[in-house]
Amino acid sequence: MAMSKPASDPRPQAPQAPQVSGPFRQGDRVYRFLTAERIAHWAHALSFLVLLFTGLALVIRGVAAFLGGEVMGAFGLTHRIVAVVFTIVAVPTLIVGARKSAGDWVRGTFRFDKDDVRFLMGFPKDFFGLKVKLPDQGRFNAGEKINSILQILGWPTMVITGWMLVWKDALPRQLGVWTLTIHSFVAMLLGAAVLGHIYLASIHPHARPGFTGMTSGWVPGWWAKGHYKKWYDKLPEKQ
Amino acid sequence: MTRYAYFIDLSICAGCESCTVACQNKNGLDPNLAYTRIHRYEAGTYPDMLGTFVVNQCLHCDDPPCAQVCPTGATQKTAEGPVVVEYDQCIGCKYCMVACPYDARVFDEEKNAARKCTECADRLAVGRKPACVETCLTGARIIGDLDDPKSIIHEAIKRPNTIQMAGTGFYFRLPPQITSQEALADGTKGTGVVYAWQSVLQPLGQLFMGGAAAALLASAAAFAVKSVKGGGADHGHE
Amino acid sequence: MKAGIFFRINPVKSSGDSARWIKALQKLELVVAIDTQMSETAMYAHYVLPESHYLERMDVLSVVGDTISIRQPVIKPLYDTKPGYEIIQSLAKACGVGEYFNFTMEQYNQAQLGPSGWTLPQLLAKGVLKVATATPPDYSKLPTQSGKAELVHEGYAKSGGTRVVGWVPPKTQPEGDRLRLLHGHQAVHSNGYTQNVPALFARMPENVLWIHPKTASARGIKDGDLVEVANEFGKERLKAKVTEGIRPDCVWMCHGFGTMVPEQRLAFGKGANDGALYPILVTPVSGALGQGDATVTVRKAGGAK
Repeated sequence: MAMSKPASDPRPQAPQAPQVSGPFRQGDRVYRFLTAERIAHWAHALSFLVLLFTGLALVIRGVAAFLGGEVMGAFGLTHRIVAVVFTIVAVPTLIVGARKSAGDWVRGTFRFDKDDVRFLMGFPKDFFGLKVKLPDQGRFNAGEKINSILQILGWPTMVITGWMLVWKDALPRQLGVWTLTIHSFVAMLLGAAVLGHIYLASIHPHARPGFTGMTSGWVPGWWAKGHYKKWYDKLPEKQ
Repeated sequence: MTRYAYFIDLSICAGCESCTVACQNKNGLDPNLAYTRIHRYEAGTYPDMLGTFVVNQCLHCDDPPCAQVCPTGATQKTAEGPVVVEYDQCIGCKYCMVACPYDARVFDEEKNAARKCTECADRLAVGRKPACVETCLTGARIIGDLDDPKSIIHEAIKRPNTIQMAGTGFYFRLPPQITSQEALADGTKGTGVVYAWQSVLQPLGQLFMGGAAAALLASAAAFAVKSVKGGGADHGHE
Repeated sequence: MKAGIFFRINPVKSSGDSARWIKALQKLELVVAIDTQMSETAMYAHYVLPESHYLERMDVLSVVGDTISIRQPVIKPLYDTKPGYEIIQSLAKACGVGEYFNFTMEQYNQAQLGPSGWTLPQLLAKGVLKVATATPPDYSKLPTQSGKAELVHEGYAKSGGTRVVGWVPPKTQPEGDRLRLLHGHQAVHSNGYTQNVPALFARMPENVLWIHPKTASARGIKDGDLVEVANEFGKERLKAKVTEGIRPDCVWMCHGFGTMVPEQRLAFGKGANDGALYPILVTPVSGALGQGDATVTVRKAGGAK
């Protein structure tokens, strides 16, 4: 239910975060992401970027030598502190504040129908600005589902291998080598995904109108209808 | 040219660990950090038990996994053989400790560095022997230059029941009836994983990231060209 | 007997039946210990005269065949200690017989060097010297009349023994659940006096009881378990090492551990003292310590040491 203005206060109210269990339409705009979803997103995203940056210093040849021991030590400490944020914030936030919506997201992410497959085949043309008619999509298009899968599988992989590495002295040698390998490889897979994700969310003309979805929660109705029609058509209308 | 080979005659090793202590003394190591260690290997049943002291230390591998994984290149293989560390460059990440098949690297908390045996490269350079070789009470440890025809190392490595540790310049002589498979570490196990990590997966990951970066730059360029050519805002649908 | 002076010797630890040694020392009117560290014996002394250790003192020069070597001080004593000969000299003076000890170690060594042609300063400079006119050691034969190991020895016959070495059964036998207690040495430590040296302690902080797998499993003992070794002389605790390298009716531990001295902060209480479990037994004829003639029971010890 949208919050109504208190009767005693005549001033226009700032758009407040609605207490809802899921997205809805309101006039010419759509409430796409709940507060808890946005908080979880930014906690995950910002901590991931710091972790990626500090972690890549160990992986790219020459960087660690260039930065030197003191800077690398600071990077290492930063990595472990931010790792705590990356580990403990996102999931509990989603469970407590957006249980149904996030649950739907996780369940739906692994289901691909024919429209999703055709979307994926046509997406490269769309990405590079070539003309293509893409099929209707649900709340998340097939590309976003792929990114979601990478996050849903990648996050526990990084968290588990990461904390194992904090205690790598205790690991048997082979396990230690595998853990280091998986941790650095998956980090870069997620890093590649995040490059694409940031570009699409903030720069790509077709996708960037959706950016406000992750800040205020609201996106333009015409954009939501044009890109996520199967979801848009089923959204409840609220005053 | 100089190419060092190192021979250890386990059949006369007394297990005294003088080598360990002499090395600690020379390298300023805390007593709880050891570049070389002795343990006891036993097999068989009374009264036909076989046993030997076994040395475990850095074997200065030909293609050392520790050097492969070192992010700063602090660990390096020298042309003469010893694998040495430039401690200014060591950032204490401990990747080398994970990668070493012989568990030969030790972590010095004070220096925040993963230290190792250097085969006393500094002593070899001035014609002296490593501390362990100099001190060995039974003469079980011998080091020599394979490119020096007068060196005793040539005769030593041909003694009966002597095996060369694969991928290294180290030769261990075992007491009779004890085979290398039982008593000695197999350092070749798991080197494939290090190779996969350093030479396949890490570069592949960077390729993915580079590819993603290239794709998005191309995309941005394409849209920039489109908007320069004219045509209104393109939101990607009718 | 009223007094005992113990110079670089630690019978409480190393000469069997530690409990009896302690009682004996407590009966003496005067016990003096001269040693480089506090030892089990020194703990029961009225006076401990601390001796400088080998890096701090000059000893009598050493001769082997045609080779002379010397131990000389390389640092000044770190604490209030004196070299052993100085302690003896001072005691002699206090007893009124100083005139027989009125020379320095340097003078003594110089006199010893006389026939060699070398001087003390030369020996101190080189550390090891060869004497050209002396006979090099000949390790191809033993210093016996025949040059060989002699199992037939007239001297033994004259001293109350037999010409030919004969078997004398030990006083104890491993019967019932008792096991023969064996002991010996390992190459890391020297006897019973280096256990507290940090570099050696790090290599071997304690001893373990070698026990055969069948003997161990019959007593519910697994490798690494804390066990109690006991007989009429004492009771000691240490960890078990289950190994095929010992007879099933014996157990073995390395000598020198189970230090009773709290000042030996590293070694204190680590491992077990075999000396507490052997009788004081002097062998006939040769007068050596009859080590090895004891049996013990071994059981798994509950809880921490």
